[in-house]
Amino acid sequence: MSETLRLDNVDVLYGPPRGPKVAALQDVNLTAGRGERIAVVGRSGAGKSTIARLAVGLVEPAGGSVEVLGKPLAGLRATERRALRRRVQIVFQDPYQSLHPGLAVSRIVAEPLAVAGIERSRRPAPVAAALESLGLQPADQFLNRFPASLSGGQRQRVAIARAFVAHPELILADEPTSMLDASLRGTVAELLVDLQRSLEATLVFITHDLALARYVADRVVVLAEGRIVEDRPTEELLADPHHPETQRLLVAARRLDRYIRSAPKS
Amino acid sequence: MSRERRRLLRPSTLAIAATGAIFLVVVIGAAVFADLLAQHPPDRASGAPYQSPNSDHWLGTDDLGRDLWAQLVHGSRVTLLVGLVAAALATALGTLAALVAGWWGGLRDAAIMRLVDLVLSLPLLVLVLVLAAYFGRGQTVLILLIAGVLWARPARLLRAQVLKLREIGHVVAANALGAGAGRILRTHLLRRLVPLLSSQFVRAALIAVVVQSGVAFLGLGDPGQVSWGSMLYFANNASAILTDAWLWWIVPPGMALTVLIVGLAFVGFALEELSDPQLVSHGPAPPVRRRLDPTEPEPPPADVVLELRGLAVAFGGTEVVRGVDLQVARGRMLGLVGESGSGKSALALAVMGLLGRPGRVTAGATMFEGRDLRRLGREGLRRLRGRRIAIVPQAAMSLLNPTMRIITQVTECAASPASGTGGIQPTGAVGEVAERAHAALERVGIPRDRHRAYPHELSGGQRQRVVLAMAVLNRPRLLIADEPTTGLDVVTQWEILDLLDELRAEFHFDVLLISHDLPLVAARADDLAIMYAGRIVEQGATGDLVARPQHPYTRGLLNAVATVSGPRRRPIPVAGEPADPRRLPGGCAFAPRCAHRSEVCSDSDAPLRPLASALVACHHAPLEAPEPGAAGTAGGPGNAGEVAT
Amino acid sequence: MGSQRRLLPRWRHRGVRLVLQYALVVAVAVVVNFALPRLAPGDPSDYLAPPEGGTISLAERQEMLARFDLDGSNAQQFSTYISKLFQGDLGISVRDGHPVTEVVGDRIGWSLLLMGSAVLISTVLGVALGFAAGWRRGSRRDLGLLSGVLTVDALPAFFVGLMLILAFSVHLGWFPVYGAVAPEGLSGWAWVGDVAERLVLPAVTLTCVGLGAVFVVARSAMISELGEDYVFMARAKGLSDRAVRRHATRNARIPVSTAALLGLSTLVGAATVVEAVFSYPGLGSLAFAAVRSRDYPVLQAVFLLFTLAAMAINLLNDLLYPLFDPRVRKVGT
Repeated sequence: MSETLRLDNVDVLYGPPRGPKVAALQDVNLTAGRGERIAVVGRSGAGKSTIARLAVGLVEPAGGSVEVLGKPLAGLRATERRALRRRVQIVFQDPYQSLHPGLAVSRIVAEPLAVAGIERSRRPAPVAAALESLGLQPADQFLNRFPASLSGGQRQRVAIARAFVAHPELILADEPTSMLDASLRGTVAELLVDLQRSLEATLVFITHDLALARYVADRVVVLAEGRIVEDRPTEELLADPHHPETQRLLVAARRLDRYIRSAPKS
Repeated sequence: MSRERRRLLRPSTLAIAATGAIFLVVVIGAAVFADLLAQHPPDRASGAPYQSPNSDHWLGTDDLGRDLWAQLVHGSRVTLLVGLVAAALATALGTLAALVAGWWGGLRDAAIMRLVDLVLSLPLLVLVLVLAAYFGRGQTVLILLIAGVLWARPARLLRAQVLKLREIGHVVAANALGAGAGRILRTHLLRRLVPLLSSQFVRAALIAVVVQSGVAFLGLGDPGQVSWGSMLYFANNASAILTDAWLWWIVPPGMALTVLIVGLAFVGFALEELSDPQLVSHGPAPPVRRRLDPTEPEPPPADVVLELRGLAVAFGGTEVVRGVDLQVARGRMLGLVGESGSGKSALALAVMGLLGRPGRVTAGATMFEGRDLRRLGREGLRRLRGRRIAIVPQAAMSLLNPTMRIITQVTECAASPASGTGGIQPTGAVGEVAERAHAALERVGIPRDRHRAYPHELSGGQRQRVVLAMAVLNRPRLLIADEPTTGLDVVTQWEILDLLDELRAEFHFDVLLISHDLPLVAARADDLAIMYAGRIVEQGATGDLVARPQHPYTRGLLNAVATVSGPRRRPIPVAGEPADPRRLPGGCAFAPRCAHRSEVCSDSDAPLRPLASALVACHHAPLEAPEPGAAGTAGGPGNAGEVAT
Repeated sequence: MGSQRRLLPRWRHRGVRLVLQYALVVAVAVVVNFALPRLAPGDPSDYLAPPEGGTISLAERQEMLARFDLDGSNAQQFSTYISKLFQGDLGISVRDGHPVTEVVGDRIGWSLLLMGSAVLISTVLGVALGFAAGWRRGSRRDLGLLSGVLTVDALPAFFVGLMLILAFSVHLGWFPVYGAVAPEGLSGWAWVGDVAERLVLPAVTLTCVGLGAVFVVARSAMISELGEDYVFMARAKGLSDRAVRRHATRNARIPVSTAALLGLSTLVGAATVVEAVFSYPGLGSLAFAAVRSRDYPVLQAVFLLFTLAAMAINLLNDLLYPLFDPRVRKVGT
C-alpha cells in the first residue's frame, strides 16, 4: 500500500489498568497518503491527540490496526518498531515542556540524528540547516543557547527543527500552535507546510482551529467524541459543511474573520 | 497570571545554606586534619583516668585514661565515613529502584513500592539494631545495614519524580522518536534527577549519621572504633552526668554531632528548595507601599469607570509596564491586546493589587470610583476585589480548589464580609447567601444537580463558567477578563464570550478584556488598546483601528492571522522576536522589528499622540504610504494621555 | 484527555485490592522474621547451646533446643512457628523464661503512652509552626522558625535526653529520672501523677525528634499550595487572609498526613534510644535488651509487632487519602 498512515477500525480506551475505561477513539478509519497534508480538527476531548500518539506508538489501540509506512505496528518487534519511529516525527503542543531544559539547542535538534546512529561529526551541518530553514538565523547564534533563553515561538521552531532534521516521512503536529500567541500561529503553520513540501513528507496537522487547518491541509478530518464525522477536501468542507460539529467549528472560526478581512495589507 | 518560576535561592535560604556549609567544613576539616589536631591516640590510654581538662589533655581523659580531645577529633572520621558511604550506597540503590519502578512500571512498580512502603514505615534504628544482632557489629556490616534500610526514602521520592518526568514533553518526545531506554534514562531522566538526587543524598547522610550515633550510643557499634556516639556511651556508663565531667565528656561530642547534623540539615534543606521549582514560586503579595504624593489625585469624569494614569510596574529591576494611561469608559468594553511578555497581565494584577513578589507598582495612579486604588492599602483593596472589581483569569484548569465542592467556593464569595466599601448590598442570612450562589451557578448554565460536584468532575468550559459565576455574584462595577478563554477550544471560547456578554447586559458591569488574540478581542470590544513592551502603542475605537491601523505593530498583528473565509491569504508574521523587557532597545521598543524604522526611532521613544480619531505612538504615523520610511518623521512632543475617543 | 465522567465508583475495588496487598506483605514479613535469625551467621541453636562448649550435656542441649522450638528440620520448625503464631504463642524469652507475649504485653502500654503523647505534641506543634512559617515564606518569622526547628531536630535524642536529665533532674530535681512509675505501689491519683511526672522528660525528648519532619513537610506543603492557581483565585475573589489560609491548609493536609504517618517510624526508632536513656520500660528498651542478650524469640516478636504496626500505618494512610482528596474518590454521576 502507498499510504503513509492507515488506521482501520481503531478503538482506543483510556483508564486505569483494571478499572473502567473511557473510549478516546471509536471505530476510526483514516488514511494519509505519501506527500499528503491532512488536518485533524475537533474540540477538546474529541480524541485528536490520540491519533498522533497512536502513530508514534505512545498509545496502543484496543481494537483495529494501525499501519505506519506500510507496516502494521502490532506485529513489530521492539527494534523494528524503534527503527520505524525514526522515520516518523512528532511536534508537541507545549514548547515549554517538549525541550529538555538542561540541553543546548544543538543537542536537542541533533537528538534524532544521534538516535539514528549518525556519527557525531556529521550532525552539525543538518542541525544548522534545519534551524536556518525555520528562520532561526544565523544558526550559530542559537546552537549554544538553552531553551530557557528562547521565546515561546523560538522554542516551538526548535521543536519543529528537531522533527525535520532527520528527514522523516511522516510528521504529526499535535496542536503545535495552540500555546502560542495568536500572531505566531499562522507563521508556525506556514513553516510546517514549507518544510513538508521540501521533504515531500506526509503531514498530519492537529488543531481545533479550521482557519489554520485551511492553510495547512488539502483534506480535513473532523473528529467529535472519538468518532470521525467528516473527512473531505478542505475547500469543499469549508464551503459546505455537512455535520453539525463541523458547522459549529466553522461558525466559531468565521466569527473572527470579519474584522480581519477588512484589514489593509501592509 | 504569567508565573515566572525562578530557580534562585532566596536570601534567607542562602543564609541557611551558608551556615550549613560552614558547619560541614568544620567537621570535614577535623576529620582530615585529625592527626595534626590531636597529639594523643584516641583509642589507647595516654594518662590517668578521669582527668579534668589540663594543658596536656585539653578535654581531660575518660575512665580508661584515653584523651577525650583526641576522641572528639578522631570521632568525626568514623561518623562521617559511615554517614557518607551509607548515604552513597542508599542513594544509588534508591535511584536504581526508582528507575526500574518508575520507568518500566507495572508489576515491578507495585512490588518495589510495597517494599518501599514497608521499609519506610519500619523504625529504622530498631531495624538496624535487630539486623545488627543477627549479622554482627562491624563497621562494614553497619554501613551495609544502614544503606539496606535507608534506600527506601530516596526511592520513593525519585520514583514520584520519574513518573512526573515520564509524562513531561521532552521525555515523551525522546520516546516518540525511537530513542532507546538507555539513552532516555541517561540524558533525559538522570540529568533532571540530579538536583533531587543531591538533596536526597544529603538527607540520607543525615539519617545515617543519626542511626550510626544511636547504635554507638547504645554500645552496639563497632567496638574497635571511636565515634561521638561511643564517647557518649562510655560517658553515660561512667555516670558522667552526675559529676562535673559532663561538661567536657558529654557536651563536646553531643555538640559535635549537633553541628554535623545541623550542617547536613541546612545544606539538605537548601538543596531541596532548589530541586523543587514548586517551592520557589512567588510568595504572597507584599504590602502596598505607601510612599505616595500626599495630594489625592483629581477624580476622572463620571463616565469613566477605571482610569490608569502613568501606571508603571516593575519585577525586581525590570520594568514590565512603563507608564500606561488607559480609560475604561462606562458602557464600552475595552480590549487590551498584546503578546506574551507585553505586560498586559501585570497591568491587570497591578489594578487588582494581586502582583506577586517581586512585582510592585512603581508609579502612577489607578482611579476607580473616584479614588486612587493604590491609596486603599492591602485590606481596602481586598474588600474591593470580588465586590466592586472582579477578575476572570486565564482559563487555567486549576483555578478552583480541587478539594472543595464548587457550590462552597461560590458561596464563600458572597459570605465573606463586605463592609467598608460603599454601595454593596449587605450579605444576608446563610440560606439566602446559599440561594444566591445557586442562582448564580444556574445563571451561568451549571444545572442544580452539578452544584455539589468537585472541580475535577467538570469540563474546562464548565469550570470557567463557575469562575464567571463567582465574578458576577456580588454585582461588580468592573470585570477584568485576563485571557478568559485561553486553553479552551474555539467553540467553547465563543460560548464563554457570549455568556460574558449576556451577563454584562444583565448585571450592568463594564469589562476590560485582555488577550493576545487580536481578532478575538476585536470581535467583542468597543475600544481597543494595543500594548507592546509595557506601553500602549495604539488605541481607538475597534472598527477604525482594525480598518485603518496606524501603528506598524498593529498592522503586523492583523496580517499574521489566518482566516477561514475569503481568499486564501498567506499569514505574514511580525518580523523578529518579541521585545525582552530585560533588554529593551533605546528609543522605540518596536523599532528593531519595524519596516518603517528610521534614525529617529532609535533616538527617542514615540509618545502616544492623537491622530484622526485614535491615539498612536509612532514617529512615522500615519502609515498610509505603502513604502517603508516614506512617511515623515513627524511626532509632536508629549501631549500623551489625552483620550480622543 | 478523555472525559472522566463515565468512571464508576472504584472505592470498593480499591479496598479489596489493598487488603490483598497488605495480606501478602504480612505473609512475607512473617517468613522473613522466621528466616532472618536462621540465615544470619551463627545459628541461634549454637548460641543458645554451644555443642562444643561442654558446659551442658547433649541431652540438656536437646531439651534446650526443644524448649525454643529449634529442634527438627527447618520445615518442621517453620510449621511449628506458624501454628504457634496462629495460637498467639510467640515462644519463651531466653532471658527470663517468661512467655514472650507476656513480656511484650507488659511493655506495650508504656510504649503507646510515650509514643502517643510525643506523636500528638510533635504533630500538632509541627503542623502549626510549619503552616505559620510557610504562610509568610522568607519572612523573619519563617527564617527563625525554620532554623530553630531544624536545629532542635538535629540534636541527637540521647544528647537531649542526657541534657534534660542533667538540668531538670540532677540540678533542679523537678522530675524523677528513671522508669515509668515508682517501684513502690502507688495507687489512684498519686499513681497517675507519678506516671505523668515520669513521662514529661522522655516525651519532650521524643517530641524534639519528631518535630522537624512534620514541620518541614507542613511548611513546604503550605508554600506549594500558596503557589497554586486556586489560591490566586481565592485572593482575587477578595477572601480574607484567614479564608485564603483555609483553602491552602485544606489541600496541604494531604501531604502532611502522609508525612506525619510515615514519620511515626522515625519516632519508634528514636524511642529505643530515649527509653534506654530514661530506663523507660517500653518496647524500644525491650528490643535493645533483647539485642544485647540475643533473646531471639523476643527480638522476633518485636520485629513482627513493628511490622504489623507499620502495615497498619500504611493502611491508615491509604484509607485516609481519599477522605482528604476527592480526586482519588472518583465519584460517578
